[in-house]
Amino acid sequence: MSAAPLAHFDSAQRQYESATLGMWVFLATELMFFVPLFLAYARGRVEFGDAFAAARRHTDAAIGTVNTAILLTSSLCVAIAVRSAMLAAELSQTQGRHSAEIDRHLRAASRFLWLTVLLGVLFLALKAVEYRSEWAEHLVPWLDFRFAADHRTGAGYFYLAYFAMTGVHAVHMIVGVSLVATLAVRLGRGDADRANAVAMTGLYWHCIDAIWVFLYPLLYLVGRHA
Amino acid sequence: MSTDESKVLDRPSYLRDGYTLRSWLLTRDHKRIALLYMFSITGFFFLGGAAATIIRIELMTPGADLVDARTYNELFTAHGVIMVWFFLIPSIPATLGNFLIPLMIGAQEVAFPRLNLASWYVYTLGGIFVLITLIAGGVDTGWTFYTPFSTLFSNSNVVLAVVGVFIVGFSSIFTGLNFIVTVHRLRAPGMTWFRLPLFVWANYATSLIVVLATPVLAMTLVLIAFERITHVGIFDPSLGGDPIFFQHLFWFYSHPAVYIMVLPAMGVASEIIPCFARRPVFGYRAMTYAIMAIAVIGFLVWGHHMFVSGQSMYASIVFSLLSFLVAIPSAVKVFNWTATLYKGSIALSSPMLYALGFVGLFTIGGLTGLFLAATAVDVHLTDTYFVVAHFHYIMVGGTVMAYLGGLHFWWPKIVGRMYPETWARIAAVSIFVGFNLTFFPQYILGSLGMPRRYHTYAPQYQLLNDFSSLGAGVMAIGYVLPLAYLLYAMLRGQPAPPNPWNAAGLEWQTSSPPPQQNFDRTTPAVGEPYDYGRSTPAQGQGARTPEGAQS
Amino acid sequence: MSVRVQRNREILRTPAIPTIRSLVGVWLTLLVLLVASVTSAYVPLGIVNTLLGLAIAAVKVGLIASVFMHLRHADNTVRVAAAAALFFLWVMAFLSFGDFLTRVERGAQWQAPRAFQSAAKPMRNRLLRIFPVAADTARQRPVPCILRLRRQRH
Repeated sequence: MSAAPLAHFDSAQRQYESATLGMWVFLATELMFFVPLFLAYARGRVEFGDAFAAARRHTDAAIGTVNTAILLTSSLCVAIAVRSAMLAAELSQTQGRHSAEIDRHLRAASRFLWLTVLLGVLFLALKAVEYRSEWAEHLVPWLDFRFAADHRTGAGYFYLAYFAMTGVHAVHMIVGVSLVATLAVRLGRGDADRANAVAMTGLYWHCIDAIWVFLYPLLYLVGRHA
Repeated sequence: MSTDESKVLDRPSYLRDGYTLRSWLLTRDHKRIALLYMFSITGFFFLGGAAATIIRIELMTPGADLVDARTYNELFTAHGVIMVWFFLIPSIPATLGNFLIPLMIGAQEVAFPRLNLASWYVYTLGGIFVLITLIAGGVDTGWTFYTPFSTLFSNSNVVLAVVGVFIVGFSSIFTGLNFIVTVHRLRAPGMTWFRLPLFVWANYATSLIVVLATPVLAMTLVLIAFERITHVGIFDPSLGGDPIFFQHLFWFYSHPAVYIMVLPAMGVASEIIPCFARRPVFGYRAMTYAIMAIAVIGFLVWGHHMFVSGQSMYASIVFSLLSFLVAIPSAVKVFNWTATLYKGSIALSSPMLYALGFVGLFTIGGLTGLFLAATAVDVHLTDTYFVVAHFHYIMVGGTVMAYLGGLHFWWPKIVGRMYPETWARIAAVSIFVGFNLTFFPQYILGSLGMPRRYHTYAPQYQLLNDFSSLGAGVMAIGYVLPLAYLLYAMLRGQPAPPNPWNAAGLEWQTSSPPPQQNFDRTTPAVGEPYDYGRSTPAQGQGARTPEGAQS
Repeated sequence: MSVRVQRNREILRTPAIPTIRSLVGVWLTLLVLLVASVTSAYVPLGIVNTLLGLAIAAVKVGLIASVFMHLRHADNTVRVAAAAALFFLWVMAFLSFGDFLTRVERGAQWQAPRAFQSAAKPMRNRLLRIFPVAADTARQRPVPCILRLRRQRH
């Protein structure tokens, strides 16, 4: 959907379709990257039942829920930004010239991307606060871990899985925030040729969000009621 | 249509399109990237081969004369890591695949040229890490990095090695992603899925495996490094972990990895054999289904590496059954290659010698794989030289022979010059003889009980070990020969016509070597694949049929 | 959306662009589902809690994928790509758990591993290997060259 497709593509349509397929294949690799962690978690659940449930009660459901809401909102912002960028590119293609309408869409896209960056940074900040409090409660397995003796092994395993999953997720969030920020800057400068990049970055952001949506019940909700 | 029509090009060939180092190191041309890869993997091949040479020299005598146990462990680890990740996995896809796939589908480029270049740089970075690991003293865990040794007890540079492999895994993911999108989106008009050459199908299936399996390896390596640094209990049983969980994670990738290594080789054989038998491949559709079946079922059999690990017996039974199943599509392919030869007009050129060698040796290797898939038999043969012989028959007798065959077959296209055929035949025969002399005795050694990964052995095994080492020497000579004459050909060989073998396929419809945009005219005409024997032989591909019309 | 844009879209076959209304609608649905999953977690329902939590997560991911990620407008190839990883996740889980859940555990006496110089000082060992020092207390004698072609005496 960029104005001028790269030389080896027949058309802009072909380039957009290729980029989309490429990004989805990459997202499949990201999901497979998390699979061993999901399996480790599941193994722990089967192996350590009670201890796992006991450990899970110490995660901060409030921060977790707020973070989930933040990420869902950020996904909305990204989706709106992608929409604006695609409209801008489409208009630029059909009209063949720069217009006020295109500028309006680009500015909207840029603003929503900055909002996404803000929400992403907020997510990471809350995560840092959460990690700090967990460290203070001696729940980090490799830093003076303390837990009730009979559940110690299982709880240690739970927190291992917890830090691994949220840690890897946080690394991906940092990457995502950087990509979105870069694009926000570019769009803010009036670069109408970025619709593909915005759409693909949007896909990446939504994927990271979707993975978090799955992590959230596993790490914060299950076994909460006891 | 004469075969030397495009002697005079409108544009320079891709080799002459810029002579500076910058034009090579910042290229976006898939053909140049293929050559960059070829340069790197050849270097790693000989480095891994050097490790093997020292191993074979040490194993000529039962005692520990040359190296001590620790060094021996580091040698076979280096051999495994380098050969698997830095030679075999990228060999055919990243060199021949990168060069040929856009040509074979009638495209100008791969879908993401800059990603293609990035994948070579990532490969090089991973290679640098592994070289640093070797210089820093090596790693002694085996290429399989089994826990708890690698995480708790090994004194070697595990984290460095693991980082290197992590990085190079992304190189293959990028290449695989590129191929998938290229084959889906950039085929020329008229090039439907069932007109694609089997080489494209094979690399496509390989790319699917790469993209789905390699990330699991990446995370597994992260977990090894994590446990090694922080001493938590992911795989350590005393802290609640499970060492067999590591094996599940590792082999979930590493079994499909062997199909990553062998499927492209099958693709190469499927190109060479029809050409030199002058017959279309037997059962084209069955071949495509077999390729996809191998890719899918290959994901389901990883537990056959773990029969004696402590895995549940019921799981072992299931994995054993699935491993028998995966042999079926491979057998279908072997039958079809053989049937392609029937009533063919066979020319024993050097590529054909490699391809026929591939079929025979792959059959032996695959068959012995079936022996190992039987749980009861595996209990006796696991961790012996039988297993070593089995996978070398497939990796070396299969993949390396096919890689060399493909290099010879497409060398005129790649460099625009012919290589000396006699030397090529001598090399092919030396490699075949040397290979069998090296690895067949290892089947016997394994069944007699000689364990693998030991630097010393009982004296009664010495004779067979000496045959094996002798064979390795012959094979080494065989490998050095192509290095010499292919390089010579690149510089001083006879200029090659566009289609020296009268082969079918779009890559032969352009000049040798091709121009930077692959085809001088716009999209070439697409006919049925493997159009041998149907049109007049003297015209090779035959008169260009209008698109879509049946001849 | 203007008729002109609509017609241009059909001519150029550009991808479908969602409306603001659909996007905000999905977002509100997601938030409602989030509230539902949190509140249901505090109601004791046994195993149903887990299943409900995961089911709600699955619905949320489905909404994100189909609307935000345009999967409902995408062609089949892309949808298969999206499904493929999920499929293999299940394969891996299924067969691995086939092992974990069916193992027959036979108790054995716990044997403390004998004292071993563990990887506790990997950096020190690494440096010793490159710059060997005469005095060594460990069984491992550091050697600078990777090709240790001399016999080691332990």
